[in-house]
Amino acid sequence: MGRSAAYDNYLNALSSEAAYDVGNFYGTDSSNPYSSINPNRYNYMKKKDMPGDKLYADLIRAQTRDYNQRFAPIENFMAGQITATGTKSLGADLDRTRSNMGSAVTNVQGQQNRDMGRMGLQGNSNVANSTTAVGGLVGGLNDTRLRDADRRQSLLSGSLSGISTKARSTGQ
Amino acid sequence: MCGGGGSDPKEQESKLALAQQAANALQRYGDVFVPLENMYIDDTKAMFAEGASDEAMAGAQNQTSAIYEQGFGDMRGAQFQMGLDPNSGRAVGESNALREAQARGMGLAGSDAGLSYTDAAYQNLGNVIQMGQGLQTQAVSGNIDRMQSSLDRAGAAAKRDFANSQSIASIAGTGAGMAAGYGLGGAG
Repeated sequence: MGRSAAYDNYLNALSSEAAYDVGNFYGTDSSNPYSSINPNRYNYMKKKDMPGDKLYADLIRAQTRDYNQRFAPIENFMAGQITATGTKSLGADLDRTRSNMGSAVTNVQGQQNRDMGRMGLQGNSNVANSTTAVGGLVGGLNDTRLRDADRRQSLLSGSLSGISTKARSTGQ
Repeated sequence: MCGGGGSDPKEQESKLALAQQAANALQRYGDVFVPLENMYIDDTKAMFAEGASDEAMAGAQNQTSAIYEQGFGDMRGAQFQMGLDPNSGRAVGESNALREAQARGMGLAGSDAGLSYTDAAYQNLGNVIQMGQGLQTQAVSGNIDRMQSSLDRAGAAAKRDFANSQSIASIAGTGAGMAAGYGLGGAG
């Protein structure tokens, strides 16, 4: 159901900040963070009262609000993921590497036993304890740690590095 | 005194028009692109959920297994053709060694797919942040691309593993030639 003209007129009479809050409170069109801006709000103003400037200010406020609501939490989350040696994903990644090697070994051991069984032989291999499998696990775990350390570096020098520069230059 | 009695400064007519144009552009952005950005943000958050990379890892393991299975069939054929007793130390040893290599290949390919998935999740987060900063975002490779790079490495490892199979080498002339015949030549 669409919004009534009276409700729109009411919102238009408010400042963009207040219109946004009212719209949010009543749950109307909250997906568009810029819907509360009324481009014609300052049409009646005299030129000496700087209507264009006021509308620009509304836009900047709406952009800042949008940034604070949608993007700042993501920046905080990403910054919070960084640890002294890597990222907080390291533990889960190590678990995944272990489980991948474990399931691969179990899988292959079964394949080998079935393969030997088809020829009437009993498989006597122990893939899990083989040097190759154990070496693969150790190598995989080391690789996981290295990848995590690399990830930390690229987060610090890549995604997050531009923010401070931009923050310092904002408003200049 | 100078300038006394001058008229008040007035804003140019075009300034309001430009601000209104910017307001329309922003509202259109909010209508069309913000929902898409929000979808991307939600998808990115979901990549950090437990079990999100399971399919990617399982896919990489399965594909790697398939690379080795084809070689195993050929190795068995070569062993029979040479009249090797499948219970002989040489046949069993060769088979076990290649199975162990297969386990290593599958495990590392699955692990690599999981790590690449985590990398992609962080890269997506970086893209979201760059969106917020108004910067251009980088394209991220998808699941298929990530799995392919794992398989390329697994294929190269399988090629080396089978090149060491004496039975295959005896029949095919060189193990590398046989491995190339499996379609592993392009890998690595």
